[in-house]
Amino acid sequence: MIVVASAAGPTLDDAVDERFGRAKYFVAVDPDTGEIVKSIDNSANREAQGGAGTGSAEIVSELGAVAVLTGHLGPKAFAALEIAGIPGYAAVGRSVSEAVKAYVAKELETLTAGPAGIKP
Amino acid sequence: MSGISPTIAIASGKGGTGKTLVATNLAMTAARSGLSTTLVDCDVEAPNDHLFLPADATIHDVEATIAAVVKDQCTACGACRDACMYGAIRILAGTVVVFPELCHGCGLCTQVCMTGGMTEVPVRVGELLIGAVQGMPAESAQLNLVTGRLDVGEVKAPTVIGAARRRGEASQAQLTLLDAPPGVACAAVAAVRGADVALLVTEETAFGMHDLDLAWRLVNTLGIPAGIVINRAEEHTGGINVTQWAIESGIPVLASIPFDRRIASAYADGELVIDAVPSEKERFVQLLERARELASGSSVTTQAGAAS
Repeated sequence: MIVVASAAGPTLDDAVDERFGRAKYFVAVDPDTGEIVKSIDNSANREAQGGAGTGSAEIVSELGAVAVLTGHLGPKAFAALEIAGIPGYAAVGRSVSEAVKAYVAKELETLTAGPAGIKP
Repeated sequence: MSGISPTIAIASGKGGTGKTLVATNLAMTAARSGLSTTLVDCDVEAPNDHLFLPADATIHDVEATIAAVVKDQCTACGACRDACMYGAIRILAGTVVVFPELCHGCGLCTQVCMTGGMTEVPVRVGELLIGAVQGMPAESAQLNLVTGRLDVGEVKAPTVIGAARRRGEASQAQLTLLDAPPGVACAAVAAVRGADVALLVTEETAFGMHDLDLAWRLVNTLGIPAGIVINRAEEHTGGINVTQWAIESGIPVLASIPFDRRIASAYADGELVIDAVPSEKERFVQLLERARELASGSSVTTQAGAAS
């Protein structure tokens, strides 16, 4: 099983990035072991003119994630994750490892679609 | 689009300078002078000409094409996703998904698909309202109004503008007026491209001057001769001087509409100023004459006394 956090950096100690579509990194973690499976630099979507939310959803979908831990989902990102069958959880203010632990403990709230385009 | 049946675009960089005022009053002036006239409202995000020129209009859908997956044929190979310049195609949970609001309708995905898994389907993006303006005096020629209206939340303004202009051309009037949207990006380009002359409506403020320069650079790039209409003009007390700039840039000033409460009041009530304020009737007759001269390639004697 894999959960993916949007993150300010590639490690477990980096903070969860509030942005999803234009997050700096995606850190894929196995919640059973708490170990990183893969860290992905999201610069392609960060720098994209449009479609960052759906592009990030595609990355998460390709990683085979069962959940996304982030701060905010725009309407198109939310729709894309919904199609991929991946729920989003609010995890800002935590490190990646703390967010994953909170996810396992079922402490995180489910995200709904928010307004588009939080600027970097 | 020649000197015989010219097309005059009314444009500005800045919004709120008076494009609609100039377009509607010029259109009525032309029709009353006996020229069959079609006014195309290309300000498709906020078309207002109909408020001044009520027409008995029929409504027609404007459609654009967007990409759509043919489920039985798609192998989810990702060629379309890789080709899309706009990030409109994604593979989610192994299935190709098109996000219509991101699709520009370029059709590249259908070209790169090797399995027939991608096609294009029509979607409505707006509508046209087409009709003859009502209540015209008996001696007038016909005045047609084509209004383009973009659906709320849609982005394909150029598609609606293009459709409106084609309908305008189809009416084969002796004069076509294009009321352009503000700005200098895609929608403004779609509205003014190919016109015989552009009237750049401005006001003598720092904003007006700045955006007039942008509009001038746009029409210059497109190779369209331009003339300036100063709106809300006042006696000069220094500060911004559009006339001076126009002389230096070699652009004729074709009219100066004064800053006059009666004009503002009539406009606010949805009336034509050529009817409400006696001095304006002759001003628009002259403006029409000068704009047509400019469209036919002649030099124009301007208010500033400079010939183009």
